[in-house]
Amino acid sequence: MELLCIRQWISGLLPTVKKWLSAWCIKPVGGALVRQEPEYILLALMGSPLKKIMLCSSEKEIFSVEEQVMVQHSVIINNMIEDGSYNHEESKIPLDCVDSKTLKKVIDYCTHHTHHHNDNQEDLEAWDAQFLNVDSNGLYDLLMAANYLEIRNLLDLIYGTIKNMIKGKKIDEIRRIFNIKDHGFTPEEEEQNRKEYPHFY
Amino acid sequence: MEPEDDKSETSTTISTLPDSILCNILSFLPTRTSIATSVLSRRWRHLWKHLHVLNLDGYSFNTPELSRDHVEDRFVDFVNEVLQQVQVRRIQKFRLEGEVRNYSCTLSFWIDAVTSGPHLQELYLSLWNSSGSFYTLPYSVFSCTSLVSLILKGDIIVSFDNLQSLQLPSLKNLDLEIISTELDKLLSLCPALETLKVFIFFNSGGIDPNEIHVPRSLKRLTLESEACDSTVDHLEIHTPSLEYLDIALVACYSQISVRTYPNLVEACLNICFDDMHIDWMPKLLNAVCRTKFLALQASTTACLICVPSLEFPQFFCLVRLQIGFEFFNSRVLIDLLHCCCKLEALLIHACESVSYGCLYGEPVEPSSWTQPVSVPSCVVSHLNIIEFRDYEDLEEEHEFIAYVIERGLVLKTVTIHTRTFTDQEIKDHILKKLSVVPMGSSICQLKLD
Repeated sequence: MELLCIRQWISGLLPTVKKWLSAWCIKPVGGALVRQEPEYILLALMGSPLKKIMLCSSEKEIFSVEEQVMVQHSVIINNMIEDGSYNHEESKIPLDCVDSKTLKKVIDYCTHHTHHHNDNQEDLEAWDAQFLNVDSNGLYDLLMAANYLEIRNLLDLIYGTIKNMIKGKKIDEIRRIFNIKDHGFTPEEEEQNRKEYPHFY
Repeated sequence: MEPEDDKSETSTTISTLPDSILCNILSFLPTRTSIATSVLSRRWRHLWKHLHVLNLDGYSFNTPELSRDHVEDRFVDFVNEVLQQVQVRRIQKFRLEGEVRNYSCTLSFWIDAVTSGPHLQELYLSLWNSSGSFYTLPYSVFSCTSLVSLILKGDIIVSFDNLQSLQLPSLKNLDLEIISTELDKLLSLCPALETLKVFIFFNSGGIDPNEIHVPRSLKRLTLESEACDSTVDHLEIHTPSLEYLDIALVACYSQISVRTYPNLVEACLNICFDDMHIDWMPKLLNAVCRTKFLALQASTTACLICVPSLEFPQFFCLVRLQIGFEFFNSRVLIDLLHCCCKLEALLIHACESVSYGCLYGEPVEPSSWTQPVSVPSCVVSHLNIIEFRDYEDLEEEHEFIAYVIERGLVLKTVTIHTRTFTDQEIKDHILKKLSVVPMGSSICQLKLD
């Protein structure tokens, strides 16, 4: 209960506090830049224990995030923490196949869904729709990251979106959406395809 | 999401995604569409054959030029072809919907084939037969140890000769909207069930006594019975982990066994008006006393009103109450409010219809407003929102609303919905009457439509 009040108070102060804390926020730790969210620093100063873990992107940027948030969403991270292969004091989880931009988005998704899981369905769906308003590159990067980290609800969300992108579309349209420039069929084969699926062309 | 025209070498496109992910994309499409993607490019040619998920939609084969039998033949050929090309033993989800006129045997053959695989997790069948006969589910479904979710809809019958070597140890989700099932026998096969949704058309218990025992592991229960001419002798819901309860009972349930559900979050009770039900109603109320959200349909309220010397349990956690009345009864409502110390939202629905069991046309004692001896504490300290549907401006209704407006110190909104086709004149009159009531809360807004 106390923690909630503190967080709410901090959130109210955050815009002003963030400015003067930003000088504190980026500090070198063991050669890497550690980015800490200002609210966590304030909380640490006030002695509230929010267990955090460090995730390291492919670009060697480190993200600190609440352990609870990642454990709830990512099966991979949950397993790592449970079987003890992650040591809170010193280690970070290297995610070599996820770049910083995508990792930040994934963390955003997990954090929002943990903190807002009591919201009503419509609000959550609206947030999800806004969250996925990215270009197709970004979408596939997210898909790969969610697949690697095994985040079920994010995966389902992205698959659902892709399904809607191609539902009811003709072949040429889908080739365009998927950027398939060269389909690799001979003219005879393509003719055969057209015969087999006339309604698809 | 616009595709970009020029992409750098290292950016992620569909083509850089591995086969397994592309296959997952296909698994969200109807299988007919997934197969059609084989013409997208050389790479996609054989991808669909690695599908672990089949979504077979018989209705999509309907064309006006062909007869129904012909359409069915084409669908059967299509599914046979698919099952030959995919690895049947790797199928994880099998979903089939359509009309089954002539191909029941083939259908059982398909189901036997997919349930024999060690990976089948979800089985969804929605089968309708306009010629009146029903499809009996093969036994292979009930010895599928990997099955996690079973959803059956339509003209399907589930029946057992004997339960030997039948078990569904992994089943967590069971959803039945079918003609007939031996429900108790089926439930006895599922010790790990967490979500149960049953719409009983007709319970072919066939055994005396006719009983339903819900698995202890259950977290969510939705039970709706349409069979008003049958009797269930005993319904047992001993489920300590229960979080969600939604029961709509039309048949006569002679006896129920319940326990207090400490984890209950939401309860919706629609119990038809019947002698037996009035007897055990207090027990049921006690069992749901820890819930956060409670919805009582008009039939349930009618039962409550008839319980001699009814004492409501304390609803310590109740935050939202929805209550329906055939005829608004302020006495029962005030009694209930006295027991909900934390109530924040109150939704009242007057003029709801009541379903009757064996008691027909019992004369309802007309109720009238009596000033409560003491104010329910939730009105003073917690009640934020009140909504009243089908308001008729009867004296009792008006007195109740006025009483709460005056004493509700933290009320935010009071919304009154009059019955449809109410004259604007009457609406204005109601609004005027209520506007002169002194408001206990400075931020209270009164809305009327």
